[in-house]
Amino acid sequence: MPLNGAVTFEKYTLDNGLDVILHIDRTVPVVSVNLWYHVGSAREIRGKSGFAHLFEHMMFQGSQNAAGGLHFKLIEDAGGTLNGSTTTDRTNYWATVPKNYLELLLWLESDRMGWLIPAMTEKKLRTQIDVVKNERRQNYDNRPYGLAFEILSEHLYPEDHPYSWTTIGSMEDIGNASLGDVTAFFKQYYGPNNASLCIGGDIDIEKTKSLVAQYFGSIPSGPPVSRMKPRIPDIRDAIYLTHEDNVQLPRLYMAWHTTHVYGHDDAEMDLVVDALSHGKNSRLYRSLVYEKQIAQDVSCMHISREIGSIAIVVATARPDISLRQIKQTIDEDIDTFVGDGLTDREFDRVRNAQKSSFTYSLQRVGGFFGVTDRLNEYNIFLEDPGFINNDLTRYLDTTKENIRSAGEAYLQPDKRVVLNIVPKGKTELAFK
Amino acid sequence: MHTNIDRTKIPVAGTIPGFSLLDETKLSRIKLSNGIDLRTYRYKKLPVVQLYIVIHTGAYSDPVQKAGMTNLLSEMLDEGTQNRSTLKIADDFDFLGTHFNTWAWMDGCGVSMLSLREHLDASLEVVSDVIQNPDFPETELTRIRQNVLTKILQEADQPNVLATKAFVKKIYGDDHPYGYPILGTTDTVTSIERGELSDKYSRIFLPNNASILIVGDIDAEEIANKLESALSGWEKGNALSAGVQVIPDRGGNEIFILHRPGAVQSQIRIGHRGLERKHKDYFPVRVMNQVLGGQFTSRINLNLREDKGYTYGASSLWDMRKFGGHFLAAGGFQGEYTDKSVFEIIKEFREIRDKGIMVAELESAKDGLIRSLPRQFETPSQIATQLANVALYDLPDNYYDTYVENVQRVSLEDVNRVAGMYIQPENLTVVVVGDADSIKTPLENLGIGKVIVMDAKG
Repeated sequence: MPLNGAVTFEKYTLDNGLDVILHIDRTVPVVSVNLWYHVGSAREIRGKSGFAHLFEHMMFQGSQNAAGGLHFKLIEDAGGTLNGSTTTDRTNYWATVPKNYLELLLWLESDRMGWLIPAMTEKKLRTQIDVVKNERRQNYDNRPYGLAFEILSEHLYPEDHPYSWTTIGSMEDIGNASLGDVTAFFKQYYGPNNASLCIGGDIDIEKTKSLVAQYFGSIPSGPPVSRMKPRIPDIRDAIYLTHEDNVQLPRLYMAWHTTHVYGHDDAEMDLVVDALSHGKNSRLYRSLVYEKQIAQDVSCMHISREIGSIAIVVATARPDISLRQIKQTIDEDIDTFVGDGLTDREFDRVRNAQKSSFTYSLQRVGGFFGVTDRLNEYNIFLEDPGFINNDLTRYLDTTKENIRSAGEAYLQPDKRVVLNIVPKGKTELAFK
Repeated sequence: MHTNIDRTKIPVAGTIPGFSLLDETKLSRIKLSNGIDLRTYRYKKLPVVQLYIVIHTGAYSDPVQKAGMTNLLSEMLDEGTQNRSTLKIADDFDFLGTHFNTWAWMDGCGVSMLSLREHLDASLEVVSDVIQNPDFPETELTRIRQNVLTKILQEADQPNVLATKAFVKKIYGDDHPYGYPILGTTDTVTSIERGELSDKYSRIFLPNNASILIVGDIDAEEIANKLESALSGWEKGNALSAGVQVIPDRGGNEIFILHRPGAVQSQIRIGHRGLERKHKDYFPVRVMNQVLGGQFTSRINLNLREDKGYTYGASSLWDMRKFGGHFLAAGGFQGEYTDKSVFEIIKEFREIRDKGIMVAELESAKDGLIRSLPRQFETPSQIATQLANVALYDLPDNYYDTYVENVQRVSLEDVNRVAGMYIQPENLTVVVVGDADSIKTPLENLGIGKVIVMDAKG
């Protein structure tokens, strides 16, 4: 990769609609295969929550030619590492192996893209239902503050909006999944025309193209999958909620609807949350944690999603501090921020942070957020992997006023959901 | 183009790529004039520089009644120097887009920095100030101490943290520093004063007690010159030497339940004393653990997750430190299967100890370990971590050159011998964080040892 230069790649599309992106990087003799399917929990319907994620588990349970258990076994024996993840908008699968195992990965990925269903059994499904239920217990039910995002989602969105439930789904829905659901979901969403395959690392382009054609070329297209349109609800009056949990300290969550991924103001809102909570000199960290010392931590995230993004502030109170006090400080700081905008120093700081983070993010070819994952992201959401070379300009070319006005437009006090999570029996620490 | 492939056959891998883990021509080791052990590796893909400063003394050196001191010291490094306030330090780094962190672990502590090549000089200036001139301002100490105390308080929310803390306490006992958490305890952290921190700083933050690892787009001589001048005021001294503490023997199995009423899941830790990092059987033990619980397809995970569905994941680990270590299997298990999970894990321990492993398992484990190496040397921070490991544990300079050979050499007899010697299913400490009301009787009915119920804090 040329210094300070573009990330190079080649994109083409097979007859069956599979997008293929190839990226050479010979830093180490490994190859990473990254595959995105453009389906996540947003395609579920109420009563079938959690299915896209459960299905991701089933993708590791073997296909017609690669028996159950072989997927992990062959990749681990090759010294490889692998994972997958499901969000509201997409499901991704990746593995990184020494370069001489590229064909093995293509065999495994293509076999489950084309021949998953013949290998499905009731026993495999039942076991993975149990595993996913344990995942839910471990990461949500039995984790401090673990239900916050689920509660926020329920109140940010109307019942028929697919973002009103979370990707893990409810225990009941997970338990009700059937083999019929697996087949229907696979046929609808796991066709090559709804996927993007990125191969990066120490590869030979012509040889890789030939292998891709051999392994993926004969898989038939699925039905066309239309894109989901942004559907961003409007909150008119702030919603205040309180939830009691097995925790020592109360925590305040505030969430607002913003824009959608790569939409107007998307980059500006990323910079707003950076200015508010990234580093000791950020507005909220400095006032809540450093000066007043009423919070243990504060973080602010802009979660960019296909049919509706949200901005969230999360602050944990120090012992014996009420969330009323935390809320008041946050409100004052945001008010000042959207009134005066950024200082010159802040403006430079948040843009410099984006610039260096971008360079740092190119270090890894594989894995979550590695170069192959990002090329697929740009391809799936923008149909343009080349946007990897333009994305940074969204941040560098914006203005202080654009950032301020984005903050003002979205972070309105009456257009939010405020969730208090308090220790059991201590509802007096909540706001309202 | 669409030649027919036979899908029923697993593709045969081509030639294994030749790869030297650390290319000699890019690696250099220099002793700076004030005694710093500098190790550099040239990385050219991106214009970045990764720096680690590793201090060869860690929380192990804290007296047990002052547990948490090394952590507090490391947290205080960037909270003010004679030249910069805490906000100024953070602002200087953030303005450059430089990532800076301090860390403390049992066997060492230090700082890490990742910067763009163009901001290296400016970043180094701040790093050198933080390393050489920390001031431990009393007001910042009050705030940071409170922050640590609150973190300790919050650990009560996390069953996985409670389980591990209780487990190491049982293994190492009350008098051994490895039995204490890095953060310390409420009592010990409350008692640590400013003078003790600055004293500890002057006894461990010495150039002759430090290694600096640099991986980036800069050559060895140039960075050595920069560091010579940036750290010219850092003077040698007599480093604190921590005496070796004895790890107590424990006999027989004991089960401790940390009661969390109504918990839907049990966090389980099962294990016993282990081995130190430089133990001669390091490689056979690594290979053996790959088979037992070191990866997804290990026996423990395949049994408890993929076959039984009791858990989202279970694994085993040999935590091998400078002065000893421990072995444990760990995971979060569905509450109603707590006893069965404990039973199955101990069954796996017995199996591998009594019957050893199969040739196919040996080959898979060795192949996996060797073939995983290239991807662990991709990024500057990965490479710096590997170099830091060699420096911290005083491993030979050719450690990674001989790594493959050392794994290859492990035989079936070696693995079966170490499994027989070091896995002790009759000498287990079992810690379960879960609902005692529902799991105590089933655990007693296993008949493997006495069951003791404690409160959730152990």
